[in-house]
Amino acid sequence: MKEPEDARKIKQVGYEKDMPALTSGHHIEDLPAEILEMYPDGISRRRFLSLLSASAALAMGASCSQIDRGTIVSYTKNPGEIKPGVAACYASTFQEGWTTQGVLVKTREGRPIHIEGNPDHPISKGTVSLRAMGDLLGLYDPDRLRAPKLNSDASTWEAAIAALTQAFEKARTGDKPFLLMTGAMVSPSQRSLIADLKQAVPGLWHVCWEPASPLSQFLDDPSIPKLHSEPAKIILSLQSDFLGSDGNAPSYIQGFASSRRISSPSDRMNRLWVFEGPMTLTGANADVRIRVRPSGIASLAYALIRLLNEVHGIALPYGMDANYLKPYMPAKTAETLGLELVNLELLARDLAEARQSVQVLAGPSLPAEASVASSLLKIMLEADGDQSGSHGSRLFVAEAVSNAELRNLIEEAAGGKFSGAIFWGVNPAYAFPEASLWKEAVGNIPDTFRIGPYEDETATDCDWRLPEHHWLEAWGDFLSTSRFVSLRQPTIGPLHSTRQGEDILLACMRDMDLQVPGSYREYIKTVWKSRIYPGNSPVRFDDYWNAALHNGGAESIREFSSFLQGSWQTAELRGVWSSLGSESKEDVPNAGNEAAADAIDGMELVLAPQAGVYDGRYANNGWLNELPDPVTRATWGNPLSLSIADAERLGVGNGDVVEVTNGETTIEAPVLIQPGQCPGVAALALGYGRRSGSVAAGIGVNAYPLLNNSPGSPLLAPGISMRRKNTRERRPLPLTQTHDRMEGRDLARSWTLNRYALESGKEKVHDPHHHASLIPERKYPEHKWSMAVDLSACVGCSACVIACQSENNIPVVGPEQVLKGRHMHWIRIDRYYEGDPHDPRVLHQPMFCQHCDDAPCEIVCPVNATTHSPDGLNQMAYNRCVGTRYCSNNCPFKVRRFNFFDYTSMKKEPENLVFNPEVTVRPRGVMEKCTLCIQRIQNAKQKAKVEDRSIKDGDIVPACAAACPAGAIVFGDLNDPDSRVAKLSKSNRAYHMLEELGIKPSVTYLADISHPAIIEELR
Amino acid sequence: MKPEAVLEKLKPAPVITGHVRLGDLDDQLLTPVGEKPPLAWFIAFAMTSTATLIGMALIGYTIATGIGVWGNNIPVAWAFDIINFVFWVGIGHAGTLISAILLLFRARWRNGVSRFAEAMTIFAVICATLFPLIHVGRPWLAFWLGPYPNQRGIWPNFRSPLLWDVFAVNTYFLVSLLFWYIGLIPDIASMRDRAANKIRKFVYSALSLGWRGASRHWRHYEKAYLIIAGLATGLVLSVHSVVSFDFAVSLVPGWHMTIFPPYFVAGAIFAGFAMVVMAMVVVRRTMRLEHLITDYHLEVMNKVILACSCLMGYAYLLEGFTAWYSMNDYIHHTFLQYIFGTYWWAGWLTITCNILIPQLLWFKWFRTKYFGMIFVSLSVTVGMWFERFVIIVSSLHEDFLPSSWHIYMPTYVDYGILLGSFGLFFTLVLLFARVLPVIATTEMKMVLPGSQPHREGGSHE
Repeated sequence: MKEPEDARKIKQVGYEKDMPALTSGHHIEDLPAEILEMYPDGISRRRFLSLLSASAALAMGASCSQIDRGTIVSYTKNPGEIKPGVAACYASTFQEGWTTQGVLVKTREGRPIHIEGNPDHPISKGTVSLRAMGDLLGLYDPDRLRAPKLNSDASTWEAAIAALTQAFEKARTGDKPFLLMTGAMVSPSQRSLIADLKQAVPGLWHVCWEPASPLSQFLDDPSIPKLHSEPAKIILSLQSDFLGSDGNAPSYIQGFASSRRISSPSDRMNRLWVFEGPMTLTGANADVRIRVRPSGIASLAYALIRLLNEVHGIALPYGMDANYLKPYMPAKTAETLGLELVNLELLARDLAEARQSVQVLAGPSLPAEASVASSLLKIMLEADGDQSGSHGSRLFVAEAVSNAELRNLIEEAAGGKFSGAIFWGVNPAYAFPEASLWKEAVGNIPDTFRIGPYEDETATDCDWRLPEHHWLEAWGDFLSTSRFVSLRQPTIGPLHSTRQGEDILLACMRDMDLQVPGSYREYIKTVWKSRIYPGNSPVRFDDYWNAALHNGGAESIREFSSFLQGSWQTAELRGVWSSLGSESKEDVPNAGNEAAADAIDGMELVLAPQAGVYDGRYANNGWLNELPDPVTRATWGNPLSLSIADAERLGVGNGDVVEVTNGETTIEAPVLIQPGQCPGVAALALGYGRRSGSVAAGIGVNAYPLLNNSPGSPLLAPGISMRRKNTRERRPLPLTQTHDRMEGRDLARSWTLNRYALESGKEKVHDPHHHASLIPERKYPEHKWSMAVDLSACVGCSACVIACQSENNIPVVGPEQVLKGRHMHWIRIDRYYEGDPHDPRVLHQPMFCQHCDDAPCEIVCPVNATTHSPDGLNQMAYNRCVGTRYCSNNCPFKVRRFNFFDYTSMKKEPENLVFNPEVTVRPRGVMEKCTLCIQRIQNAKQKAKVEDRSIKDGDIVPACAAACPAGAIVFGDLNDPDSRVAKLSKSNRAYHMLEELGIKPSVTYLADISHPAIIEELR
Repeated sequence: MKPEAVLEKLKPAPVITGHVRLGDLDDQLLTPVGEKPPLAWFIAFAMTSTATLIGMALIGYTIATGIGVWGNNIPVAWAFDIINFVFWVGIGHAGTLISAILLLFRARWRNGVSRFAEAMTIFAVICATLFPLIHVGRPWLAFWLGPYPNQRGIWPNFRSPLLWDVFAVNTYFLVSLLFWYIGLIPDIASMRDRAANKIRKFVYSALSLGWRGASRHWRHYEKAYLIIAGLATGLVLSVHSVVSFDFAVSLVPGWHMTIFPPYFVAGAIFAGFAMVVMAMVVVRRTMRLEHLITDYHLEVMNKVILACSCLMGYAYLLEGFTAWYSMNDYIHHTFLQYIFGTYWWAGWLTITCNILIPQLLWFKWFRTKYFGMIFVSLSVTVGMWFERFVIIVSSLHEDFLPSSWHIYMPTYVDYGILLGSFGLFFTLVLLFARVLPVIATTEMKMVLPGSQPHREGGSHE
């Protein structure tokens, strides 16, 4: 208990040394006024000197006034002190919308430098979203608001708290309510705090709004991934991008990939069926992907229900009348939607056969009737005739509002309903579809407060702008399941004069003379003590609390289901579907009019949060902006994805700007022709087109305004028409991959399960040592580090790219440089389309330095800057590199990256604090590439040496492998025959890239195995 | 045909037309050196030096900012920088071939053009060496390519073709300079003797190394000249072979070809001769040297160009054949890229300029008329530049993994530095024409009528 306290002090002092500018604590500034009050007769010199020394001591000890000096406990080891040069990891929690993930924050000398998943977390199980890793950069964002502001003038916290307290007082006494608008709220303590505040201010209206992750009674619970507990045998996705844009994607990927990493053709393997309009990452990984417009999915689900009922004898969901299904004849539905009936039959067979192990996932971008239909399908498969049961799970949050409800609220606000408002964790000025209505509303609320990290769109519309801690500086607790509560602890002292949002409310409550704990940390502890800690436990609460901090959370003694999780009540749905179903809708046929046209009407626009910037909250993050979209490979913006057929009809190519309108709102976006997209469907990512932020402003287009008249389906805009812009404007797309086909080359190898059975029976011909060579073979006496990548497990999510960027100090180059082909990622995901471009098969292949035994880059470097290590690494000596770039020319994988400009030295505090001190920051004119995280290898070697043992398999985990939710990347020693990598390299799926060149790559790839449904099986 | 006529035909063509006396020769070749240049020279000089300054400014900008101001990227990590390097090294080759190999073959017509061609070699190699120096990411560390003893005990990588380049180009530059300078000594001495100005006299005296024209001097001179010619002969073949190793030794499809060394040497001579022909036409017109650089000279050089063009055509065909016969997907793709890919126009421009247009030289009119030969030479110069563009950019931009294929677009800095290199080259040529004799007087005197004893009875007037 005592030791960590000291440790924290040392850490803070050490940090102050680095950043003197940030430690000009408020004590020093505030002291004179207070002292003058204390000594009305003036201060003698003696008194002054004593006060001076006292305040100096105080300043030294206390540093920033707002640091919450609670204990934080490291995860992997309890450091007696912070050891310079030794990283410490702390367990914490990342929250985004309704999802939470347990993370480990790696800190060096008191500053977070890398984020990995917490393997002990019961939901995320060591997986971590790429945005959690990427948001590390957000901590050090120089755009962060550094002190409170009143309008655009600097102000103080005291004034801000006083103003907010006054606004609360007004709401307490007056008759107008006070609006508190937040993002998703799944924290027991936050909710308790707001409940306390509500008691004091009865007129407080609390609403939660997540623009990109809506809650609805028909949608699955977005907070809990479905595949995490038991992997399903058959997964049916109805336009659900659970492997891509879903907040829980990493966890889904973990579950999905667990039965894709097969080692023999007879192993159990799941099958993924996907029905979708746009091409999503989930569709890209499907075993059977069927293109269908979102409006057709409802009838598709009903046709499936009918097949399951009639052919396979599964009882209809309780209360459903078979007559209702009459219009949905499978054959007719298939014909209207342009599908083959046999696919529906195969799917029905799969679903019926795997009853106990089926997962049906429906995405949020479906029309309401499709959501209902998919719910019924789910209930049917789960209930099996059960008349009363409640099925599935969904999230109830009383305060959550849909877009339509929010619109009503904003309208009321525009009518002058509220006396004041706090906007906390949401950015309605950007994400609310109707900008003018919002302006009117915010203008008609007398006192407006913005709690957030940036001076963003909402902040500039509000009077008070109160800067909030970054989550790495904050405390918190989050409900991850109905029982497990994750804890968040700060891993660095606040960089700026910011406060935790909850502390702001607590300060106001104190000013309103309420009895509340002194800090939010104390508050959390109170909540935990009363609600989570088992009172009869023999463990003292303090020890229990420390253990929970150490582990990243704890099981609660009681369930929190009362206010969060729930399940499908069949009866509840009944009314809804029967009312919807009474007006049987005509399906829109898939094949549209093929003739060329100036404008296309009746398009369905599917919106989804973008992989990197999500709903726009990370739009100021360079790493996440430069992350290539896992499907389109587009960076820095959101092009409008169109099918090949629609693009041909409009006569547009990549980059041509089109006008997209829903009748009321028009936006302009450049086109990206997306192979595999269903004609009649367009797709656009959310999160771009921000108006504030030095990085975010002006990148891409804001798609939210198109949602202004799409009730019922939160992320779908039907009835869209588009036309090519008259000016023939083009906006070149910064794609990191401009050629999509493998040209018949044996690169990303992909076999069907049947082909695998054939291939695995054959004698292996691809032996790297098969080639006759005059060059003597290299000897690796001790270790031979190597990597294996299982393409069957890899879904292409790109988490490895961000992990590598964070670990290896990889610079961001910007859209102009990406357009020129100069992005710097050491690991990239190659994505290929094979087969019919209208309906291709999509392959992913992570590509990074292959560490060839006979590396072509090494022989051509004139100055010996790239050499071979005795343990199998192809090394780069940055200091020695003069930058001839010959190595890059001679690298057949083109994985070497050149510093065409000086990308890093202009980084100023606090931006430069993000750099990993273990990895050299490369200067201009120098070549760089994947090192297999040599710093981690060295650390593990040193650790083993200190512990006087040899390195064990699994001691070394490179950043990409640690981040890979699929476990597709395995690192190890090929000289150790028992290592995982050695075993994988002997797999019957193993091969090496471009082996025929004789370069002997040491990285092994394992062929992708797909598991398509085969028509012959049906008969 | 009558025997006399046959004999007449077999007689070597005169390499000097008209009656030239020794004194006239000196007067005509050595006088311009002291005189105020004509207006045309100043206009030309203003243009070339402006181009040079533009190039130098942009090089400064590059060094201050980074290679990023060029269009280079990954995968096209080399572009204008190495194209220009190979181009200029190639231009130099004609000079060495004319002065060294033709000297050994006792081709009498070389005497009139050798000095100028050698000077062009020097200047071209200066332009060429510029590019490897500025193209590296950190030019201030480029000396690490040199094998100098150092405390760190690190040697350069002797397996790297780039290092071979360093040696090849340096050797080439040194030997060419020596060869040129040795040839200049007697002429410099003559100029020293004619110099009226004190400073000029001092400079020429120093440069002439005490040449007095004694027969001992002549004996040593001839020997030294011959030895260096022997050395340079090897270099004609080796330098561009080594340059081609930059490509041939790599594994990039389109580069990894065994035909590259001879193909590059032929190409170098081809481009070099084209440049010499163009320069010679200008020199002989402006300096009124038609009687010393005769139509015969030009025609012979045009014949060399024609021969080289045929060699180039063979090489191109063989590349296509290799691509087809190897059954190698990658090479196949690259070759198709050359002619049907992103830069198809560059491929066809190369073929047109290097193979089709030079075939006009089968016609005597094109070999002997200014318009014809300048047209052909110009097209060869353009064609040979684009040939390197095709080899370097077209090959690199689509190699093994389609995922990393990327288009290359040059920037204004690339164009500016290319312009600057031409500026530098012609600035040096113009300066040279005003300070040193453009034709070796001593060598010309050897081929003046009656200068050599012959069986018709040599005569000394």
